[in-house]
Amino acid sequence: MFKLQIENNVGIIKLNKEGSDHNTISMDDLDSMVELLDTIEKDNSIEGAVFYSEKKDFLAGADIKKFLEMSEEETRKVGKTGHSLFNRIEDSQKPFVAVIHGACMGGGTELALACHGLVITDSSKTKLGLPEVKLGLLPGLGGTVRLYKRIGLPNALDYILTGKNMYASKAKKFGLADVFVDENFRLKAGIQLVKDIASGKHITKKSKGLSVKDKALLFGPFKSFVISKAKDNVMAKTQGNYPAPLEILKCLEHHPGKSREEAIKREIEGFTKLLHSPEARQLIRLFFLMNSYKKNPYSEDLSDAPEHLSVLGAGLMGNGISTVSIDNGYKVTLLDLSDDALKNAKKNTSEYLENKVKRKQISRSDYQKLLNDLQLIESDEPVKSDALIEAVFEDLELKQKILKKWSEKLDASALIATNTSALPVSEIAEVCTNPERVLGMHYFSPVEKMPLLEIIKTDKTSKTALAKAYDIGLNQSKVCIDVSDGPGFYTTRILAPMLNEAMIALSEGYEPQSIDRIMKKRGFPVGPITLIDEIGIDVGAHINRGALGKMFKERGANSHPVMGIMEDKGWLGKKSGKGFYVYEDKKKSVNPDLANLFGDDHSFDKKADSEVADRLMMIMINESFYCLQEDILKDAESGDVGAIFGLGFPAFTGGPFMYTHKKGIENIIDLLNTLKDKFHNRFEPAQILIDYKEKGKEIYKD
Amino acid sequence: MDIKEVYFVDGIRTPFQKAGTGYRNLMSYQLGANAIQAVMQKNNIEEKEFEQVCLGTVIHQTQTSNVAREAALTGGVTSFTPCHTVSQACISANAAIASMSDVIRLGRADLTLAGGTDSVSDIPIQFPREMRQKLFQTRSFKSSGDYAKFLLKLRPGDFKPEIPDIAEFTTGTVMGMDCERSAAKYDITREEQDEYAARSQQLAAKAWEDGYLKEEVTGVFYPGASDEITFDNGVRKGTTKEKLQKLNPAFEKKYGTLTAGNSSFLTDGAAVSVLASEEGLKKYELKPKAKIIDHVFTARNPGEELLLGPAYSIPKLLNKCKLTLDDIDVFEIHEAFAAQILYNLKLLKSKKFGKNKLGLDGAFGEIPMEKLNLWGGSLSIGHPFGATGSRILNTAVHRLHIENKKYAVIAACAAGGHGHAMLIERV
Repeated sequence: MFKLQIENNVGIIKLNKEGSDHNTISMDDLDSMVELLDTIEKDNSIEGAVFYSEKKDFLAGADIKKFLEMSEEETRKVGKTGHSLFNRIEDSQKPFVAVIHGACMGGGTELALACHGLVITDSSKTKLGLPEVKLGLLPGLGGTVRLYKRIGLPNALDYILTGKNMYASKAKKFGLADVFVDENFRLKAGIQLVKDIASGKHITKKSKGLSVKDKALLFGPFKSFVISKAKDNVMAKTQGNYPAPLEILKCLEHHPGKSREEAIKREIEGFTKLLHSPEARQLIRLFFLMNSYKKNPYSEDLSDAPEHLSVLGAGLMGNGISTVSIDNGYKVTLLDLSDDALKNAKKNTSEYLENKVKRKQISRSDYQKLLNDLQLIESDEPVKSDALIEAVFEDLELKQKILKKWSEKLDASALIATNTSALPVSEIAEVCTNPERVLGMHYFSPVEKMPLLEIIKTDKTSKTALAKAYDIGLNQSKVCIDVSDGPGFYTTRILAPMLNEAMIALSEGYEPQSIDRIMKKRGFPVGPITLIDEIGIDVGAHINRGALGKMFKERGANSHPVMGIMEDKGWLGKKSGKGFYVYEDKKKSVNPDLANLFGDDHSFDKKADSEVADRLMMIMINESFYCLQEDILKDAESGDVGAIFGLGFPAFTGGPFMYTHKKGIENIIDLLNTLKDKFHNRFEPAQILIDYKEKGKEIYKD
Repeated sequence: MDIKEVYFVDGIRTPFQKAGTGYRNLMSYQLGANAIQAVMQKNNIEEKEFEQVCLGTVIHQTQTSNVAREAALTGGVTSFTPCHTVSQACISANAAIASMSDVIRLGRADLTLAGGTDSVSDIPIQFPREMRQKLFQTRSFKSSGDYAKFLLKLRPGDFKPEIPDIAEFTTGTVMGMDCERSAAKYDITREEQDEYAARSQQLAAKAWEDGYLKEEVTGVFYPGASDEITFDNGVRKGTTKEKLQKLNPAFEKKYGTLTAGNSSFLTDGAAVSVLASEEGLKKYELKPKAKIIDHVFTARNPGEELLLGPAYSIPKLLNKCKLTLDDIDVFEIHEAFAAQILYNLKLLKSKKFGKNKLGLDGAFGEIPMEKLNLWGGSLSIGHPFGATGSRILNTAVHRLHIENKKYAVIAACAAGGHGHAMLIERV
């Protein structure tokens, strides 16, 4: 990993993980660094050293797989070793300089913070960051100890609590860069910086310290204010479900004014505690899952990867799909019968790209080039393209009519995808010529932000078509799962009963806000009542009327009629200003006429309790097992991924299947049976759960 | 349609002058006219014999937007000869020559004139866009009241001039800076660059002493404008590597290696070449010096490979003509920067580049210094953007005769990531 060569009396420590595109750091690597430091410190002819990488990244982070096997005692020990090494660099009489180009994440940023000087390249690829919080951890090699001393407490909290990237221009603005330079001069600049620090010609930014204002924020009431504000933010976002941000807050509250050794001791304690928390284990599992889901499972069947997409329908979904497509290298023809819709779509895409220019992620000419990849056509007539993604209204006959026409004109190899949240894809494929290339691509709104793509295959869908759909989705940076066709597929199918249960709770007199609150407390990003207002009550009512509603009815669980009534009244949710809530001047309050829909004397006088939360959670989890039972899902893992990335199922639980696995199948069955006895047989446990229990089968191997 | 052979008859150029010196009072078309007049006189070409004229240029004056026409009319070509101007940055003259060769090849003309002209001393400096718009509106003013309102609307910022610089439009990077980065990327040292730049200067000075360059140049004399100009004032005889080493970096001040001494300088000048078919040679009783066999253009991403033109165009040309580097005796390659020519040479002999970028089994090959730019180059003689291609062609043919060799290759890089190469055979 580390190789030392001497040039012009300066040690060049090359970071080079053999056999890998990325540089990651492991404990063994740290051991090999000790020898290098010995050499550099003993040899009087060496003036100092630079850390430098010829790979596209400086240091992408630490090898976390190894951490998972460590006991608490080992974790502490390894933490101490790492820290003493970084301290040795920081305390060295000879200057150390980190030359940062490309990704410099986690341990990379922490190594850089331990160095005396920093060379940062002005490339758009260069980014620093401490993303440990995303894995349920804290930066354990000095991230909490050193960053706030460079960029101030509020900024350090912002970066460590969110784990977001710090791009080069930002790093420069924060005063982290001693030298800010083009990538081709970075080594030269690093060597020169070592010499300049050694000779006293350059006073490092690190030694200059914080501004008076930032120093003031480290102590007394100012510090308390900063910390408590950050804590309020964390609690609002996580409801206290995630221990890592709270632990980070404790560290940063602790450190100012303490000695380095005390601060490090506290950081090691925090890291050790978090590493062995169940939340971190689930987040780390998700991280690995995400990486494995970045590969196309049908790549062997991929031929003629689509390059030119037609997107039909310039509404919210079509617009979003075309934006993420051009942003990821596709040529897109966007078609709609309304010129206004097309122009509005182009405006939105342009604003999206403008924002990237402002954030310096793309250049002005990239912007122009990308925007030119979006072609608008006021028509719904087929145009030659490698794939069609249709996103017109959710109306089966309309979709059938349009896709039939397109399937007759497009090449037999062109992919035909319908973006729908619940319409039966098989019935759409049926009317098309070459139905084997027809499938569903269920995007989530807003497409630019939501990470999941649910790909729906029919009995006829070919592997080549699946390979192409995956290829498009992965290029659009989506996490993709493929599921079988069936009412509501997977995500809509497990969401619908949960929302329906919320309707039933309302009819029992539970207050809407309290239902939202209790589900957020359970870890959902939005409460179910707010969610349905955002999706649109007409959409919900439409789904209830369709195949999904019918299926539940046959199982003896009627859809609650309230959404149909609201749709008739024109209360469509947020988009019409009135739904379960009314939206006025950015304020949201319960619709005063809502209670009357449930009966004349109805009032929302009960606060939702944990039983309500259990009902909502369990009916959703139970339905996901139905999906596994009916082969809608190919495995439990894709069900966990779909629920977390598509529906915001609490990530720390690991998804509905992992949640069941951890709680124990028997306990879940018991809870379902209790609910069934008390409420209705809609809580009847899925047969597959009973089978698993009886056969002693595990959902996951530990 | 028969494909015809293309013959090079003769070429000539004005002496090249550093911007703001000898030609500071002349316009670009006047330089072109001078070269045209000289080549016609020298070869006894009559005013109506040229059937088509094409000149390259980079710095466009709005008054003479088709500068080829103005240069031809004032240079003595009849008004019945169609003329057009082309622009492709530093290979504008190459584009003109390529186009006029193809006109002959296809039998559309039997005698053509190609070349280029540029004056950097007289760059069009613009008002800012807002001021231009305000001024444009004055065209429809009717009363003096309109003018009064116009004057009231003027702001000090409206008078801030916009001076164009040599930067890529799409990437915003100044060419010198781009070359500086590439020099670092391909590991070309300051010392190598200075050594190469000194070589260019010494060779050019020697070629002037030996009288070779004098033969390619016509004197320029405009009464009132200057004394007669008869030599290239960028050529500095006593230049040595040691002297060049003392200069400070010009673009990347701190870590840079490019200086005013190892970069080509802003230059005014014009150069032209006369091309003919076999019928043309007979009809106008001209003697050919060479045959133009073939040419290629290449283009790369200007953000990544701005000045790698020769590294791509030479292999493309030779592979197309089924020749190897060994078959070529004379190389004339445009020297934008010493670093640029050195990394192009380096890439041609790099295995990695040959495999990854050219799709070959290994390196394309090495161009021996004994064959390259033996009479100096753009670094010493100068580089009027639109004219250099014609100068290089004229010199390559001249060298074939002096050195008594068969094949010559000329090549150049250009802004926009372009490259050009042309194969010439002595007759």
